Amino acid sequence: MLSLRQIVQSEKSRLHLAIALGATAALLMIWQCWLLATLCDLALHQQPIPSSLLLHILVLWLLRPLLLAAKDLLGLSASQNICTSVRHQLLQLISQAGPLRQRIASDGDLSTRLLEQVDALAPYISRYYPQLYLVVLCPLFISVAVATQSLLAALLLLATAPLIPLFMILLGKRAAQASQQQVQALGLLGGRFLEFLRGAALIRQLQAEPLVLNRLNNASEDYRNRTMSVLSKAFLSGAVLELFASLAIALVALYLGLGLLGELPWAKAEILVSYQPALFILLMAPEFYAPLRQLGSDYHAKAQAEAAFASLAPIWTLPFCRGGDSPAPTEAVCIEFQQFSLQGSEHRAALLTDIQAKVLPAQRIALTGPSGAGKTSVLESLLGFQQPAQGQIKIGDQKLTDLNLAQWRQQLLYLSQQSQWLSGSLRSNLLVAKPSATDAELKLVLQQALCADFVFALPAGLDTVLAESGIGLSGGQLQRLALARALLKQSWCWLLDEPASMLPKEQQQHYFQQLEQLSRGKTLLLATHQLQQLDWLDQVWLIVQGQIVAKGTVTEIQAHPLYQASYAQESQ
Amino acid sequence: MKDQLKLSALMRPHWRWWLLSLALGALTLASIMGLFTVSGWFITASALAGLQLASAGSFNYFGPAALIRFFAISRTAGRYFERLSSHNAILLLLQQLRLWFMRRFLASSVQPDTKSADLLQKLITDIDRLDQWPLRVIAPVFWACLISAGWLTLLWFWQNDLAQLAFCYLLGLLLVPVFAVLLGYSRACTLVEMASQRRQELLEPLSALTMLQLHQGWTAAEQQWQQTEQQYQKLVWRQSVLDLCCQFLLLSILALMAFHLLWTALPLLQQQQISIAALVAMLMSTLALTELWLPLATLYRHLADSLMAKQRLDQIQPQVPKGSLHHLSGPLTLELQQVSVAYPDAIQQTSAVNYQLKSGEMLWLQGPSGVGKSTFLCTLAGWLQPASGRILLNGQELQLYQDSTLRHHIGLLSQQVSLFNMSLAANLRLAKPQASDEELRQVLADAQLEQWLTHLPLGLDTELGEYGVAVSGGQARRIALARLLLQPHQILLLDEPFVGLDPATADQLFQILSRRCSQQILIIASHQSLPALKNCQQLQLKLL
Repeated sequence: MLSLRQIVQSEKSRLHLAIALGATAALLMIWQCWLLATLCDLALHQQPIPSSLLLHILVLWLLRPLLLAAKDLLGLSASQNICTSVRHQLLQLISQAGPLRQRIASDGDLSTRLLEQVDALAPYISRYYPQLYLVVLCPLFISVAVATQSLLAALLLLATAPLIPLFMILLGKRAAQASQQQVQALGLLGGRFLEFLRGAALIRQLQAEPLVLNRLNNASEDYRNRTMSVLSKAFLSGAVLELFASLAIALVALYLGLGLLGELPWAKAEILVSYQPALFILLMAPEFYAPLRQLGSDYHAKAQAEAAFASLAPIWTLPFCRGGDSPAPTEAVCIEFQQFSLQGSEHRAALLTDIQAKVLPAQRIALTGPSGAGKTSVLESLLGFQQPAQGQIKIGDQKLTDLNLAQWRQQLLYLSQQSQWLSGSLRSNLLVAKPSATDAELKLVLQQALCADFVFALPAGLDTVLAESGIGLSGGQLQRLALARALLKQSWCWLLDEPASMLPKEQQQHYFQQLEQLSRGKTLLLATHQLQQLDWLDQVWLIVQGQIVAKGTVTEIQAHPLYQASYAQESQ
Repeated sequence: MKDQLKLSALMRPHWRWWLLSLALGALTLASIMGLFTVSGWFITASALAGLQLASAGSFNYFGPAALIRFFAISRTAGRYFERLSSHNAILLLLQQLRLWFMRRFLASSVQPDTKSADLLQKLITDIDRLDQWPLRVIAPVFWACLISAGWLTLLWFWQNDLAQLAFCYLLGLLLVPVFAVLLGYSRACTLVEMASQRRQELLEPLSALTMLQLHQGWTAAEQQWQQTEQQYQKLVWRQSVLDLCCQFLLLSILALMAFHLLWTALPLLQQQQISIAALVAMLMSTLALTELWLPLATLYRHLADSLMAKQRLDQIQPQVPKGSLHHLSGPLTLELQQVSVAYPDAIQQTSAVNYQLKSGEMLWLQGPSGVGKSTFLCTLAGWLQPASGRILLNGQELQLYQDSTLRHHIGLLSQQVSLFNMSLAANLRLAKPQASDEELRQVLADAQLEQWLTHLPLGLDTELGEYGVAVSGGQARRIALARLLLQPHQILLLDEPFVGLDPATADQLFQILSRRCSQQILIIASHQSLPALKNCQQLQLKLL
């Protein structure tokens, strides 16, 4: 877990170079003001102006924008590097966390965080961070330069300077507060707008268009009034800072002008600061406040970056399992849960507590119990994504957490409740499991998984294009296709999570008969709500509230009071 | 003819605010220039007067001093009020835009479903993006041109050959944003498009992550995304470089102009044609032009952003009214001739159905999940076209009727229930604004929600939705059912109305529905088997 400042450290050298360039540009500016003042002074006294002086001024005038551009370029490349590496790290973490990622947010939300929120860090790195240093350095250089010419003018500038940090804090707090309130109000308004858009079909159906438009108008009106009253206060602090800058410049100009006239009340007919330094000071006065104003306007970049960073924080703390490098067994071995517990997300009860169970090689076991009891958690725990809270799973004589997880996952056949599909042809989706599979192999697995009848009835057959997440095929068809895909891989440990839940009753029977044939010789864990056609199983575990409450044969479990209680309604 | 978004039309009602913020902005920028110019002139003139000590006493310093103070204050006040008025104008514009878009969206045929959340979010961002057009495109160009023209005019009255020189440079300055648009506009558009592509390419493998991890397919998928990402970052980098180049060009043209003016003015000074004070004033004002021109460096980006947003919003077009029939009375007959339905883009369609229903009849639609029951109901409601076959309502094809007529006579309770973040009563009154509380209670009781209602401390005023009381999926569906029952539909199509009900309550609900709909056509799609349902006509839906 890092902080925003620590992240910036990795590109420290580039950013420090940027700051150095910015500071150099400030020094050049001082020098340039001096030369300009010299030029005007010469002209005032009607003396010839050396062309070398003019050349000098031109070079400085062109050099400064160049330095500033180089500074910005460095800042940008630093921020791009940091964002890319942060994004890479986060994507690695998310990919290793597997199903755990859904504890943080939906996939759509996660990709927004990875893309837009990481991008929101960039202005902080490229602009705000260097400006944080320049805001101290530039006014310091200028006040030193002014002090060499006129202590009073320097004091005038410096007198307003301590007010500036004060105002920055005020400004920052106000801006943060204002933006927070505005975000809230905008969220409410946006929410209303979005929900009306989402409910468009219903609004049309109810013919409630005028009512809805009226409500939306009122909400927008309300939002505008609220925002304007917040903004009128928020802008005020900025205006006060601006007023200070303007008045200070005006004061300096008046002091210098009256001094030149010999009209200062305390120094009548006496010139305290001569023309050259006076013009020099005047030219620099606006630059004294420029970095502060810049920082003020970049403040929202900081607020945004902080908010974005906070939304990324939970990704860094995901309790996923990194695995080890012991080779995974490629033949069926004994799987043993030893006092195994699994923690849910924060503030939630444990998913599994104290699971003690042993699966012999090639044993076929069903997990049953009410929804949410922990059947899926037992299956998912074997995928090795989550670090156990307590206890362990032994695969043969090795701990699951010590295995090379990529190798171990090669040994698994896993079907989740919702099968996952990519857009593309059916063929390309099947080939994900085995890129080298031939058409004959595909045909075989499709037949085994009872898909051949409907796949080859489609006009385009295997080349049928699946739209996003498999739209266009029924739930039951997708479940069978998922089995076909998984069968392409040679694996000895099968984890099936309600693989036939969306099939009609009569097809379920056929499916389980087929499964019995296919799974011979494999270690099988099958999560299921019903045990009707499953008497071929070696054992059934009844899971209630994250614990195995009973183990036995199908008939024994069917007779168990807890099983009957949970399925009383269904059998009715 | 496409119906296009016209921002100017939406801005017109509040043109006073826009004018005010433009004027205040101009005042602010002019004050900044004035402050520098007058202070430079004042110091030099004072020094000049100080040199000839005799005339020092007669130098009137009150005028310039007052001017300097005035500019200092008008700059601050101008900026403050400019920001306020422009924000107000923007908020007014956004309000108009939202209303305009909602009106158009409701008139279009877009059917939002669970998958379209992303699309809607994008549209909302697009609407918010349109404020860049007046704020970041129009206003900076207006200010830069106006103030520069004013400056040029003053220069002209003072020394017209200097003004001619400055005019050439200002033209050069104007070329920079044009050059940026030529070089960067299409890339900026590509970037906007790539941003959504980049998201899509990440989202897809991410939503299949577990499967890909198990099949060792993740690395390949990630690499593919990385390619797009790298390409995107490369374009972003190039865009930033272009920004910096334009910024550099603007600054150096301004510097060159200041230098050239100085170079030309110095001989004039030596010939005593101009005073040194005026020369310094000119120099200071030239340097102050920077603040005016810098925002134009990134003009092209905002131009691209707002135009792309406008284009995307214009893609939502109001539906062309299709049918013309609006007369529909007496008992209805609904006839299906060889009807088979399919969701748009679906691979399969249902097998053909022939059926006839008259007012007072009921039909129970059965079939496994994913077979197309919901699509079937949507088609009967006229929301979708049948994949083949004809649906006749009183002997006329469904498509020949006006949408409003169909909506008035056919009510559909869809699986995707929309409850808004409003009170329970307000949600119900969407269907019948003038309904009395008593009527609402009755219809909720009919939908088997009486028990639930009595447990709500605020009763009908209970807030629903995200910020309100939690409503289960089944309850939400029955609230929607109650809402639908408030309208006098001749045909009611209910998609899984019994979800979340125990068999006894479901049976009760069914009895009430069949009583209420004794004169109507009632079609219920349900995978549940209620004993009472067995008594009504059944239709088994199959895939072809």
